[in-house]
Amino acid sequence: MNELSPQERIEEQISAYLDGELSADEAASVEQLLTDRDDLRRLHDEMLAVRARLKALYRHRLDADFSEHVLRRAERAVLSRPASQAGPPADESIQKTGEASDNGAAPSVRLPRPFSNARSWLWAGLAVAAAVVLYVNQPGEDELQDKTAGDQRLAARSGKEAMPAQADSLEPTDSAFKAIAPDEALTIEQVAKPQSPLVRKTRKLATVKSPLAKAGGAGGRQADRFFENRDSKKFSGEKQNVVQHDFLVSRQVAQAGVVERLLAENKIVMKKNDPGNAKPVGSADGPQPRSLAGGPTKNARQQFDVIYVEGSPQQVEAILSALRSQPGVSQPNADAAKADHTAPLADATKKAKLESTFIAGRAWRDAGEARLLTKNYRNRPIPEAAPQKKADGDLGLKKGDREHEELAAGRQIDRDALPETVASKDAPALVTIKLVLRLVDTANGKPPAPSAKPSD
Amino acid sequence: MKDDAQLICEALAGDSSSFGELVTRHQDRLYNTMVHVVGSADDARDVVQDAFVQAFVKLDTFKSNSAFYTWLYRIAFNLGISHLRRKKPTVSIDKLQEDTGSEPTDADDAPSDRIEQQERAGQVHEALAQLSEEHRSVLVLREMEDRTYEEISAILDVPVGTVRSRLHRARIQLRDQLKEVLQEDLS
Repeated sequence: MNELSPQERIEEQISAYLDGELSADEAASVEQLLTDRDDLRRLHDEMLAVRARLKALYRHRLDADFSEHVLRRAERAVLSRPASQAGPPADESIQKTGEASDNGAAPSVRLPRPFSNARSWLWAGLAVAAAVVLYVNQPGEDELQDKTAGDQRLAARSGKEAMPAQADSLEPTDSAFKAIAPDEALTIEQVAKPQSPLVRKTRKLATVKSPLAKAGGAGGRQADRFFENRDSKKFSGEKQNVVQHDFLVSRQVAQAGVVERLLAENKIVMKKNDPGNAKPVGSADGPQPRSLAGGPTKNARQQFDVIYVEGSPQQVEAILSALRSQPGVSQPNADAAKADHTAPLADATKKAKLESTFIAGRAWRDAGEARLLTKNYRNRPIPEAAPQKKADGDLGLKKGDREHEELAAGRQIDRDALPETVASKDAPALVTIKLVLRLVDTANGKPPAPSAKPSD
Repeated sequence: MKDDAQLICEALAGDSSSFGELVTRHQDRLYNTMVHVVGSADDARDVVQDAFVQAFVKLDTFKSNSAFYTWLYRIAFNLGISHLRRKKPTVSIDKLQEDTGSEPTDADDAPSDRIEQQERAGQVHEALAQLSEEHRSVLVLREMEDRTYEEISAILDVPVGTVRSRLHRARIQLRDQLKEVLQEDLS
């Protein structure tokens, strides 16, 4: 390490003096120097001016719903981790902190980890599968129609026959779902028609986009962002807050698969369409309903499952009502029980989605100009490979956006090629709720008496 | 209001909304710091999100002998620095302004004043970006986040003496690069 010169040592002391990090004696000494020497006083003032400049910089803030995105990603990240990785951290960033290692020296908080129960993986996997299916059922179909319409419009201009939507081009696989629960995975065919665009599209999501298939890396982040967009915007038509409902479920009810059956009856319809694969849940030869609890545990509070359910307000209320009236199930949080799930739809259904279609020169598009225009818009689901693979793409711009106007003014874009269309009628009127199901060892599903309450 | 330790215990017991409260509590300060560390608002958002996700996944390994934010910042800094080393950005005023977002200015100011304010902010951004990552990190934590030397030492995992010397050098370098701007301030 280089030795400081006397001048540098004094300057460093002035820097520390500004921060109030000197002892009283050192501070007094610096103050004397500042009184005596003009050059040091000047340095002191310059450092203060630097500070003022830095503090004057704009303070960046995140969106109000950032924490919600983080939680969704975090829960997916937990889902995508094999149980064998529950030990020491493998991430460089964590290892560098030095706090994650088991040195045994410092007292640590060792509490149960979320999703530590094997059955929870199945439950959460089922929830993810259901969420993907439900999402695809609405905007996905729209996108296929939009794409087909777009192809036809492009073809009309080029004089060629439009190609059909390319959902079939991807090899189907359910590996992503097996990654959730290797031994008990429900395939997508078990929850939807196997040959429908819905299923093909879902396979595409599961194999290409799903963070469940890519535990980390840039691809995983991109996939996560993709899902965030879908979750928070397209998935539900409009951005909305997800209301969480906590339920306490008695072990007896959980083991009987009552909750699963209620959900299946109200939302997740399983159809028998593929002779080689799917059977109705609950049928004698089909997959049986899974129970929430896998076996005896020491602490009931350690067992919980998180499920996202999306549907119409009526469907959501029906599920909640069925759960509330189910013996052995209770909802302790009265505030959540009063939540009005129809409120987010009031605005969502009124807003019109204007679609502007532009014909862009291939060179212009491949040069990333459209991407550049959307740079200031966060979370635009524009995959890196989109310019090479797709003939067109939804940039998610609204009329009136600066980028939209620039697009309209672009020389290589034919803005008059096609009219704008209003697609508000296609906006899905769906709401999402989050169910947190906790297992309790009481017969009525009520919290145990205070004296018997398990401790952390 | 619950403290971080309580929220961590609740999150570990299965209440993910408690972790959401932790995120809400720390997100803006961490994000603002990382914007200046990585030099891009979008990249900073990714880094902060990754940091929170890693913190959630590894929450059971967090030891209560340090503050949660210290642990979180260390995760974020390591991710941010890894990101920078992968990216190796080139720096220009235009790019920095584009990436960190326009500097909001007072709408009541005259247009010429607003332009001037933005130009000066751009110069500060550029000067910050010219610093080495280790100098920039201590400066941002000290001047923008008002962290003490002890806290910076814990976050960056360097001795307090190193924090002190890096801060001094960072300030001198920034002063040299912003000489013209500072002369206006001091005159």
